Amino acid sequence: MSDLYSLTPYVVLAVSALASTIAVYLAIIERDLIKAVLYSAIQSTFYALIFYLLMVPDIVLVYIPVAVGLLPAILIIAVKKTEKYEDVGGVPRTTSIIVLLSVTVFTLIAGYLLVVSHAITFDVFPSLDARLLAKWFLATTLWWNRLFSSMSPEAVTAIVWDYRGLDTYFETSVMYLAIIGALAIARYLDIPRKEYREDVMGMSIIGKMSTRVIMPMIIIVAISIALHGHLTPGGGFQGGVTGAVTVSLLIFIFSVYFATRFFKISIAILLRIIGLAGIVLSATIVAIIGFLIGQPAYIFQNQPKIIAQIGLPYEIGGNLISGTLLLFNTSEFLAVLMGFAILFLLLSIPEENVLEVIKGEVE
Amino acid sequence: MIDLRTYLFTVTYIAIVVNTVIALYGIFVRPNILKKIIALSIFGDCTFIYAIIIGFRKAEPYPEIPIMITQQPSKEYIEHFVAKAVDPLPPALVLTGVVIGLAVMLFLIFLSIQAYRLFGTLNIRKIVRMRG
Repeated sequence: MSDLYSLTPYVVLAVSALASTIAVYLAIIERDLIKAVLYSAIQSTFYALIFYLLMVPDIVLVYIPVAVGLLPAILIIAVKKTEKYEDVGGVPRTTSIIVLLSVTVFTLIAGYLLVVSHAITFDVFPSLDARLLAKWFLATTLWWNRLFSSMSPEAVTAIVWDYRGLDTYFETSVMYLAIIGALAIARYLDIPRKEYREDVMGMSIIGKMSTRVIMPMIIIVAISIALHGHLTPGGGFQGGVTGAVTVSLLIFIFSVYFATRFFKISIAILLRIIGLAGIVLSATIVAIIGFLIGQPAYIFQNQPKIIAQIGLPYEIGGNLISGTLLLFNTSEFLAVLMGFAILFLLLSIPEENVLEVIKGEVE
Repeated sequence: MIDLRTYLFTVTYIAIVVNTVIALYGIFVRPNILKKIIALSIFGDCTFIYAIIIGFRKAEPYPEIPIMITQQPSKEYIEHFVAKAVDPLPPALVLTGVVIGLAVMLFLIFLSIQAYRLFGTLNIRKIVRMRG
């Protein structure tokens, strides 16, 4: 019986991986693009299950809103605005066979290199032991010695901000550039001013009513995920993308005119700038304090280290806040949520208005 | 005697490799730009699963998530935690990867909608012929 108990997760893992293969095949081969998007959402659901069984709840929390919720929704908007069916004529059969063969060879070589580099070992698969670096991270994430620890029981958030803060910094920059690019493409465009009318716009009354009930719950879950990021699975990214689901619901179920009652693009940009300023502040606050009181301190420092012995308190009145992690999670939540809100609002501008502006530009 | 868990895990790995092949085929051969974007997102997800598989480990009876359940860990608890928990570094890297991936996908979708407005089609072969 105990054998069966320890075997079950692996059986579910293999079955969902095989099912995801079928979904991927259907998604690539399907000519109706809406169906292809739905198949890829099914594939994402199986992948979320795989992530859960591989013991990474942080990824599950960020992956479900992103890959099952936001990306299919935006792809469906894009398909509706463009072609609905894929035209596969004009692809020679020999070309596709040659491409398939070369892709297979490439992937096999890549998989073989993973084995050669001892990233994956086939004799004991999965491996029995963690890497030395992983052991160090795990042992020092919450430790009695503050000089070596980041004082957070959540090892993943500790690594995201404390050990690899530069990654997060550049990640935020990439997202910032993507949003700037989208804003640049959509320059001169604005959401037309129109009064929202309950009986004409949006989906049926059932959808609207249930969305009104669900919306506060989603917001509360998102804020809770973000604020407990240093204690439980979650953090600023996960909370931000979960919160962005509410914006997409507002636009899809009601309409963009209903969404603009609550916030406009300029307000979203302003709130995003506040979030980015919070991220910069949490990166530099220890260095600023060190500069003010005349002691050595570093950018991206959180807890005191041997050569720079100042740092933020890791608890206030018995509540663990892990230094700058709480500030970072809050501002990352704001930045991610508002960034995606901007992109959603830009995508939902009606096509007639866009074509008018573009016409003037092309001619 | 091969462990049944190793066998099932290998099946998972091979399924993900097959997914990668199909997704790359879709990126190269399918003519519609949006279909290419769908295939690209599937390819990215497969890459994330490789990273997570590298960090996964076998532990008796099962591995643990890399999150402590106490705020004042004793020495014994930390030893138990290090012996059981999976590698926390790949999740941290994949976490940023997922969010960057979504932002880049949104930008690509923006570009393809703009291309449709300007060219009137999303078939990449037709667009190439138009400009060539």
